[in-house]
Amino acid sequence: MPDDTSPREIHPHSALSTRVFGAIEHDHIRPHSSLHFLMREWVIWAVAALALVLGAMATALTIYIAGASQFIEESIERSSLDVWFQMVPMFWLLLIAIGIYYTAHAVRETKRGYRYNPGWVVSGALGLSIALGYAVHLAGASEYIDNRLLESVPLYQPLTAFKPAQWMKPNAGVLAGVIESVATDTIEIRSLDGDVHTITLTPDTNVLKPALMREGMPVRVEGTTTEPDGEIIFTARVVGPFMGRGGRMHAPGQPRHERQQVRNADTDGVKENNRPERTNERHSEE
Amino acid sequence: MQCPDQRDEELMARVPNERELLGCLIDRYEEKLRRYLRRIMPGLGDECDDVLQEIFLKLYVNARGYDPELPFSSWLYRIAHNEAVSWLRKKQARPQTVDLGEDDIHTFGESFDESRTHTEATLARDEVARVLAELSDIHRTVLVLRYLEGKSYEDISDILAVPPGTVATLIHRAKKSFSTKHHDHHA
Repeated sequence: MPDDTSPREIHPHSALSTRVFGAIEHDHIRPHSSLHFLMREWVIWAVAALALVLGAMATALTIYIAGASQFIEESIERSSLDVWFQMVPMFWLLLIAIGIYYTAHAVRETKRGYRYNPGWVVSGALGLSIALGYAVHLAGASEYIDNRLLESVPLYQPLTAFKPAQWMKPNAGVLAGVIESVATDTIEIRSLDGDVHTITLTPDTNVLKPALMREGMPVRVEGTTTEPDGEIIFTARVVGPFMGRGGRMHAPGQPRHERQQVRNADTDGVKENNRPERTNERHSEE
Repeated sequence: MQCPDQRDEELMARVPNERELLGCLIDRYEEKLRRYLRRIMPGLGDECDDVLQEIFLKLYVNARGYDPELPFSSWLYRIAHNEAVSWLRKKQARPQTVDLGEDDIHTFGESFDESRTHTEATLARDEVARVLAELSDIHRTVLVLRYLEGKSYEDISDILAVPPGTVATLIHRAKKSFSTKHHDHHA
């Protein structure tokens, strides 16, 4: 319908006009300032950006934590579904969903945002989260964030299904900890709960990264436990660096300066073809 | 004082600093909005002026937030739609009919039934009003905007703040719902 733009007298006494202007005067109604609307737009875009960052960080942590489950799946032959349910970080998946929701909601609240197909907005938010999250993960930030949270926030462990206990089951053939000493056919490990375990190596033992088998390095071990003559012997099938979740955590009781040594150990440029130094002395368990 | 010979968008840009120009916009749109409100709000009755007052007050308060790229008419109808939704939510009992004018039935019948599938049963004004009142608020709104107010899909998209694709879907479903209820009345 065309607008009626012919000049007309303003009818100050038309009933509706009188009511409207009367209400404006009586209630001292004034138009919102331009700053009010500018701030609203800024807040909307800030919420969208923060939600996107949250989604990206959650994506990065999810990629990292899900990847850390590979050792369990490969080495102890548990079903993929079983491992997935234990390791999948529901906490971060929930944050991804929240981040995507608020990003999409904020976009639709902008001046022209309502014109976009909601499906495309959500897909775009998801795609951006994944892309940014993957970039964050490649930069190594996800492992750093995860370890800092594991060390500093007690609630984070149960929320993200991090179970150090699953790495402290020598009777089930799973163990992780820091190498205390290396001998010809044994290594001693101080596990995450502070106990010292002697691990027997055989010619069939698969040592994943020999160069990193030295004192102070965090390792994970999978094998079998036997009790001939009442003595518990843990024979390793696979030994590898513990680079997964908690791999850079300190062992209970470990002095602070040693924690830093552990963290720096695999960045010292140790070459793959270096044989680990092994002592011929066995250290007795404490 | 005479109302300037300017487009609505130009007048709206001046309203924050020249309050009296609000009267020009009220003058231009009062009757259009009054008819629109009566078409989409069953049982509005004497409260129509209250709702209209609220609409124009909101227009004034948000004057500096008006986006000139959006047609003024669409922006005003959006405010009116939001006020109507608020009013309908507060209303407990719903009368069984909306208020349609004498010409509305011809306008509605001609544009709604392009395929002439309803020629056997002539659309009577009372029937249309009753069936419209029985529809959901959103279905009634899109049918009124499209077939009585003559709004394009893009206009309706701006008024309801939904994607144009959603408008097409809503209109399709609203027509289906209208036809079903109209058929039920004749069964």
